[in-house]
Amino acid sequence: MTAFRSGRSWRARLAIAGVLTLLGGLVLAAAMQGTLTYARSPADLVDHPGEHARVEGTVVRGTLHQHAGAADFELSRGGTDLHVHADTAPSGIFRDGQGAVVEGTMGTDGVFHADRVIAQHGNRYRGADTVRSGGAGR
Amino acid sequence: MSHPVHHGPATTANARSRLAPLPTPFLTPSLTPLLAGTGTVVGSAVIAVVLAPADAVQGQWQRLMYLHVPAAWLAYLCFAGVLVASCFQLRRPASRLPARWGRAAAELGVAATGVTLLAGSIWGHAVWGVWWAWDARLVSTAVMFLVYLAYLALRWTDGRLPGRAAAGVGVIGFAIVPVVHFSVIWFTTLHQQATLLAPPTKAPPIDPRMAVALGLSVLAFTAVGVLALILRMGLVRTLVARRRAADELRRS
Repeated sequence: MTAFRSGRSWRARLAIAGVLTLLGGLVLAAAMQGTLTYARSPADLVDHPGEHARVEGTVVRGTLHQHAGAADFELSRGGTDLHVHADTAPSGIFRDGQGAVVEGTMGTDGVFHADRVIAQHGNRYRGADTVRSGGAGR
Repeated sequence: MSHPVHHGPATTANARSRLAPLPTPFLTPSLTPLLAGTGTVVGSAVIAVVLAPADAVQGQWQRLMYLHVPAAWLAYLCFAGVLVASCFQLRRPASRLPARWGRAAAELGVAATGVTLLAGSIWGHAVWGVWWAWDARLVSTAVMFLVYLAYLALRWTDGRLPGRAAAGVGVIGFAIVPVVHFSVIWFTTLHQQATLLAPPTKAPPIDPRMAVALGLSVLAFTAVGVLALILRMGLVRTLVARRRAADELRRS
């Protein structure tokens, strides 16, 4: 194989690699559409029945009622509360007063029907021992 | 580190002497840095597992932080190394050293990214309740993993053109690193924002014992990473010298 021919084959391969990278980038950009904004806020959903979305907020203290495999709670962000009914048991460290992301559909009854509840946590870290002795829960 | 490799016509005796049994790579450098590295690792592990408290909200799972965060830091550091090596390679295409450094750094960086993703996934499952989420931090980290796998695929391919293409990827591909780091600020993510490398005005509180454990684990990962690179490059030099010597013997 001459240097010229091998050089040309490499150029062809590089061109193919370039096109593939470009296509990959386009696919990635399309996939990222729902990724750049992982979750919306309750205010975006309140008046949009039938919309399927992910919504984030804080579980309002005292509103969480858990029953066999389901849960009801208020999700709040920016002054807007969203009533959420989840058909699944919440996972992770989900609890009152914590952040959460719910995935589901806004119902015509004004209730957000979640089929997935994901717990969120902040970037503050406190020792379990100091919190217990100080009595300052979150 | 950078002894010039002997290129001139070697005598057969010279070549034979270089074919001496391969020295055990882990005994070649002085023991001091090895002991210092081991000490840092053991010390930080003890502090992370025993002295640092469990988190008030996340419990014991939060200790995965001392694996997840330093692994991500080491990956950033390695990819910065790939960037520097790639720049050197593009400026001096005749030298083989930048390509070797770049390859070694990328291999370590890809492994560190793998550890980051794995530890993060386990942590996410315990705390969020999901192994994976299509949020900007997780997706961009996976893309970073793929970018440097592509770099390595080119690096592992023989030839001058793939080598130069790898250097190109090593330079342009580094753009993903700030995207990964700042994704939690630029976009709405499930992943929480940074704690240690947060903007000073918005630095969130962290238990001082946790901060010490995290700082030490970052130090330990950095030390072991740098040590691994140096050992690796020493081993590569030995292997290259042996191959050259064997070639010379065959020809003579």
